[in-house]
Amino acid sequence: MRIPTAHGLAEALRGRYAQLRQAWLDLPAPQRWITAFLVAMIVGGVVIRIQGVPWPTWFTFDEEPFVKNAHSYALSIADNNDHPPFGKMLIAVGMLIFGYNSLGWRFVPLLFGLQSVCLAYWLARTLFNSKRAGWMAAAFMAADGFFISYSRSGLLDGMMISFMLWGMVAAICARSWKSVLIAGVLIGFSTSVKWSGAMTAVPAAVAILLLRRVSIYSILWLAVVPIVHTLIWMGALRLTGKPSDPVSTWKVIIGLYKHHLDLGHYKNELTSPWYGWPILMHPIVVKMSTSGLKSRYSSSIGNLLFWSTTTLLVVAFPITTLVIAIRSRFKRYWLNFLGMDTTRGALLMLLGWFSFMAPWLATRGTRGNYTFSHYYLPCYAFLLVMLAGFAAHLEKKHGKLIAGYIGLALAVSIFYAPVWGEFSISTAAANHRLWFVTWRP
Amino acid sequence: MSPSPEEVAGDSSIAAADAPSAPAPSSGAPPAPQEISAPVVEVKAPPAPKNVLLYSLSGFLCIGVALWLILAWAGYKDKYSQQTEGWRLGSTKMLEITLIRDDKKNLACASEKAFAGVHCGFRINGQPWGTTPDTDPNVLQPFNTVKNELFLAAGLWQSPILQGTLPAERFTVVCNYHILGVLKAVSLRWSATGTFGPVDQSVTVGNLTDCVIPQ
Repeated sequence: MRIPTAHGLAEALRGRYAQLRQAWLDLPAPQRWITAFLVAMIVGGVVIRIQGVPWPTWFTFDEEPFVKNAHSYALSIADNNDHPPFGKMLIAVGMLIFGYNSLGWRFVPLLFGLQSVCLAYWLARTLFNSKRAGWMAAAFMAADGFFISYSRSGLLDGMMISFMLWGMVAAICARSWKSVLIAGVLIGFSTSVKWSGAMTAVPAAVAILLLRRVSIYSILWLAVVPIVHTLIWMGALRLTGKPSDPVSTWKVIIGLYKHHLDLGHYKNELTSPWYGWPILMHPIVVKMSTSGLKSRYSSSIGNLLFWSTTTLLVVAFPITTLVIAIRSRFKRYWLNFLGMDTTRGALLMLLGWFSFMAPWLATRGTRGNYTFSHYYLPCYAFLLVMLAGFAAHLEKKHGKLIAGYIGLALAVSIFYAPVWGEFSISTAAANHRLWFVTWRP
Repeated sequence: MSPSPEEVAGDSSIAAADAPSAPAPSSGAPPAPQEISAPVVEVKAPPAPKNVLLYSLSGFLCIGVALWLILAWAGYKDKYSQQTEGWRLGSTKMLEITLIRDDKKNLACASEKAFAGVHCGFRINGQPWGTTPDTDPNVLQPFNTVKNELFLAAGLWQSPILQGTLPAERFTVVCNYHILGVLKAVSLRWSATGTFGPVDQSVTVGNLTDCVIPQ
């Protein structure tokens, strides 16, 4: 292997810079604007996630049970929380590094939050076969408050999403049964953070079947999901000195499952029904602290432009596709407008959205309205990737329109950044952004 | 990284130059036979290792992180006790402790370990260490806070506020508690005639100073 010299490196960098400069000059004006907006979204999104993450130094929202149990894992004490162990074990890693303090318990969720931005890029790029779609997905996720607030808190949802995206990427990139097995393991990790992560297996399996890059029987490797989940749980029980044989583990899992079904009896003023999530009925202020006359908020309200567009797409896109499927004479206009790859990728993301909605529709009889807006986080991740696919496709023909759209989305993000990233603001300034009573703490 | 065609060509020319040349015919030697063209042997360069450096570095990094995490995990148990959440080794906490005046004689712990000179009043086999808490500020005793948090502390009875006549009924004192260590295996006794019973979780060990009785 030849070690490059400093001169060689400088030459290579100069060459690369010249290439990028030429590529920039070759871009039409709207695409240049779009590129600038995307860069601003990604850089801003990363900065806003990281800055001041240890504040407040006390527990907010649901952090307390997760963090206390993470601390328990680090001390080999039994877990008494009602979620699978893996997420809390991961939070414990941050506490091993920084100690039992707010930076320690928010460090690993932050890493996963940043990772999700990269994974959104990877997923959209492979799914739509377009780097541009990848950059857009990364930017949309980076500049959305729903993901920002969960990246800044010691909660499980951001980690579950990250493993979900890993699983989807592995399934879409799969070229052999081994890759499908890896996808299964990653989905198993997601399931071991929160059970809803298991729903990733549905779009992952359909992706494998649709793309036909591996034998259709290889989807059987996704059966590894419950095995990975059980093994992780057994390991956690063993770590805390509890009976960890398969039968005892199974009893613990079943006990917890019954407890979850029974949650409908509980009351919590932060709950919201599933149909309220796509219309932002009750987003939660995940973190809040007051000092003097100013407060710091980290609201889980999303970027309103992305949110409204994706909600419209959830309704309009399947109906349009159905009409096209029935009245095939519209098909060529449709394919001329969106293209086959974009349509297929978008439908797959829509399936992901539905897969993560389905458990809450199915268990409404037992859980009632004891559901929370953050259950929509994985659904929304799929929708943002879908939106990126559409935007990247339409950019080629309707550059100005997409530039305007993304520019407006950036403006919305800038306006909402103070209530996503815990800037010190007055209540009046917060209320200018959190319009409705149900949006406020 | 696989070499480019130019590099391959360059390498082969170098190889040809470096190859040992045929020996020069010595004088008087029979004339060289008719020149026979040597058979062309295609020398294949060994396949370049793919990303060996990257894999090795990643492997070392993973092993390093894993080892470090294991060590950090072991260290975490020395810094925090299982009994009291978030009480960190080296920190000082203000505690409100619930007491009766007989606790001076009633409360005792048994362990072989000592932290910065402080130790239990008894060894693990029940033999007294030699000194008692009312005379020695280095003898540990178990106490509970008003929030029912268990900890081991020394130096309480040497506080000026507890030197006079103590209240006959249950009372509380507020002290600064400096954490010196975490005791993983210890037995406790709660009455002068009682037996020592083991605690199933680790307990913090420290000194009590600046005690006051809240008025």
